[in-house]
Amino acid sequence: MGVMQQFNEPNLITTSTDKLFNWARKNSLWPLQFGLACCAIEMISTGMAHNDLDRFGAGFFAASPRQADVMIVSGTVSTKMAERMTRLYEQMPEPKWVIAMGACAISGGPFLDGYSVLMGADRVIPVDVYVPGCPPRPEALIFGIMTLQKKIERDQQVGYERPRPALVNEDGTINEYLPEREYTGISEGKAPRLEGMRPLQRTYVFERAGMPPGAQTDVGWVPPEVKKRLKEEAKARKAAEKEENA
Amino acid sequence: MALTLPEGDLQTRLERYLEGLGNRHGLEESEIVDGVVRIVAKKVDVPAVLATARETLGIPHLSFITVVDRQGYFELTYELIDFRGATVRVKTSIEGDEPVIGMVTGIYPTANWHEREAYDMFGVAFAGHPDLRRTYMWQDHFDHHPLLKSFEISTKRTFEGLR
Repeated sequence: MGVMQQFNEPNLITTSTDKLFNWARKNSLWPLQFGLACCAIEMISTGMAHNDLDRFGAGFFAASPRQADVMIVSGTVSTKMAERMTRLYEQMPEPKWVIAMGACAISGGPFLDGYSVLMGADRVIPVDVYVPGCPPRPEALIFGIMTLQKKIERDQQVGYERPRPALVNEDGTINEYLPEREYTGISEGKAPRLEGMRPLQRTYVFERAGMPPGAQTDVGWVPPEVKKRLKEEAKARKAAEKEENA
Repeated sequence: MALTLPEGDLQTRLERYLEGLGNRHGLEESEIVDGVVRIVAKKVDVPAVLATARETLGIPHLSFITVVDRQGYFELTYELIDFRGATVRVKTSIEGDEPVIGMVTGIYPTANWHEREAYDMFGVAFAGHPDLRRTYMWQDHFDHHPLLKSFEISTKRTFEGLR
């Protein structure tokens, strides 16, 4: 902590527990030693001397899930592997985070419609950071880790209840809490924030509940509402053209 | 168990294998092509042919089992190698949509996982196999054999019962 160098004698620092714990957590991220496919090679390369993941405190790849903080899902997740991956995730102690590295871990990638491929790691475990690429360069993974650090910085340790999925009655009362396995919402950043703390800038909202639409793998597919809108726009354009000519 | 490699030069060994198998079993076809003894046997004879190859002729290793779905019948190939360059290729075909054939795990223990894979991908049942579980596909919620010609890729099917 650079601030300690400013003191000439033993001193006190006043800070919030959130700030202290988040500072400690984000600077000692231990990824799980867990490689699935070609992205793992890039992950290994990231950990090597040239890119030096140790600068971010994330260079120690823990060989046991009991000692790991981050799971980097690096590669295609086959449906059989999904069970093992979920088990590893569950064996990791809280707090824990997941980085989906590469196209395959995000959506299934080029193997999307294969008979054995899971369409994205976020179907079974909550993902915090998505790093696109096929495979992503080490710089991209480092950027993903830095993004995760920023997310951890804004985390809240105490004073709020972790969002839990529940069955809700029509009047809004909670009928029954669902088991922890149904991770919905946790990765969506819905935890309440302290006032004055900027919320994370989100670019995507992943609607991934239930089955994927059958047409998701169809190249020519356009959502019906978009199709409708496009049609209407074309109609309006045509009408405007007609008016101009007349 | 110490491994004893077969004696003799390549041509002698190939001829010995061809003769040895041809004399003991009614083979449909048998010939030597490009340093490979190629044999076509009836389905029921396959375990006996492989037992002869192992016990009498001393071919130590079963390299692989392949299956091809010819739509209507399945073509199985057992490739045996003697670690000295000679190969024996035993072919057979199974009629019908629900293929069953005798197992060779008792003769070549390595066939255990090869047969499991063949069962997993093509649904070929090996009668008497000690542990015919699926190797690659998950046991629950997936009731298909993906390398069959009749199998169509469907994203929905992959997620049957999985969330």
